Amino acid sequence: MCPGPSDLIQLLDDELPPLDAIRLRRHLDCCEVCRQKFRDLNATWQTLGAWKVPPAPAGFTGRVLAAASAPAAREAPWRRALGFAAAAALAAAIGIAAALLVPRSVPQVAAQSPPDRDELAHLVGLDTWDDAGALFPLFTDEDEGSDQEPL
Amino acid sequence: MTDDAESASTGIQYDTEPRLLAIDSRDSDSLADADLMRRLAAGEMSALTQIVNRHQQRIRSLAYRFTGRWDVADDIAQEAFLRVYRFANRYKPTAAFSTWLYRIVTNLCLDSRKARRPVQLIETTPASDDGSDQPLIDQEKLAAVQREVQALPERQRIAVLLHRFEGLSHEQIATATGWGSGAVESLLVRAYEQLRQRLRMWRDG
Repeated sequence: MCPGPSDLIQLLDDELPPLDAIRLRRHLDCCEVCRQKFRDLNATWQTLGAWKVPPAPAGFTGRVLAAASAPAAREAPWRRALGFAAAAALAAAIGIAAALLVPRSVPQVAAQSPPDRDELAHLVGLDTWDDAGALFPLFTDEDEGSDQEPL
Repeated sequence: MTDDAESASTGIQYDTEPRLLAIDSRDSDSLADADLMRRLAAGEMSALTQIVNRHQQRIRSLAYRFTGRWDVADDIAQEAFLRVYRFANRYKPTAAFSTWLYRIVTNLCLDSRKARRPVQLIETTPASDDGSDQPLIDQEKLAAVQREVQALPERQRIAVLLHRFEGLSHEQIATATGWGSGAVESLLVRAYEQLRQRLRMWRDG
């Protein structure tokens, strides 16, 4: 039975147990299809080896140590974010508490007494409110609070 | 059986890069890394210097290959080491330090918006003295390799970079990324198949 592609990769990688590797190599000796697959895989492996990393920029160690020496370096970024969020929540809570606990400053509107009837009468050129009653009998005190149905 | 004997039996040249040796030497350093992490957790900044000096090359290379840009790569690598610094007291040496570090970098690469859109960065190769076309061909081949690796979907790209260039095994990749072994296997198979098809004309031999 022919091996799967993963077996070929592990053979190339020397990851197979010794006995399995020997068995697979024997198979490759007699199976042209698998031998070709393994050749292809090996050739791809070699081609990938062309990728050499160019020299890295210098000064990396110093850069890391400088960053590690910064005050916030010991603190994970998510903790910093959590700290900001906690501070914002605390400020909001204080604001809400202050709004609830401090007595509301209700505008003190001075209770104004209704204008004196005689003053009103003076405004229309009469001496007293009773004179108004004489002129306009419909607006007498007796009509105030009447249970009569409106017409 | 030696590599030569194996090559003779199958007719295939094997890659002789000391990939597994590199992993072994990394593991042998793990105790020292753990000691450094203990010292770092105790506030010794000199331990951070040693950790950065020891691991920066592979971490920066990985980030560079993923992003194609040194500025973004170094931002990612710097943040990775700052996380090592921040979380030194949480590190438990149950896994190799390098695996833990790869996990941090991998997550940063996948999270970085800038890193998600890699740019093509082709290094210039000086012209040869004898006037041959080889430097130009090498440059085109390098560009093709970069382009095709960076064209891979993100998870396939990470898997290939860790496997081919960082020398991690399937299991180590699974540990470093948090993906299952089956997922890593599947990612590698698909990635190498795509690369095989697209790099066909550039194959050696």
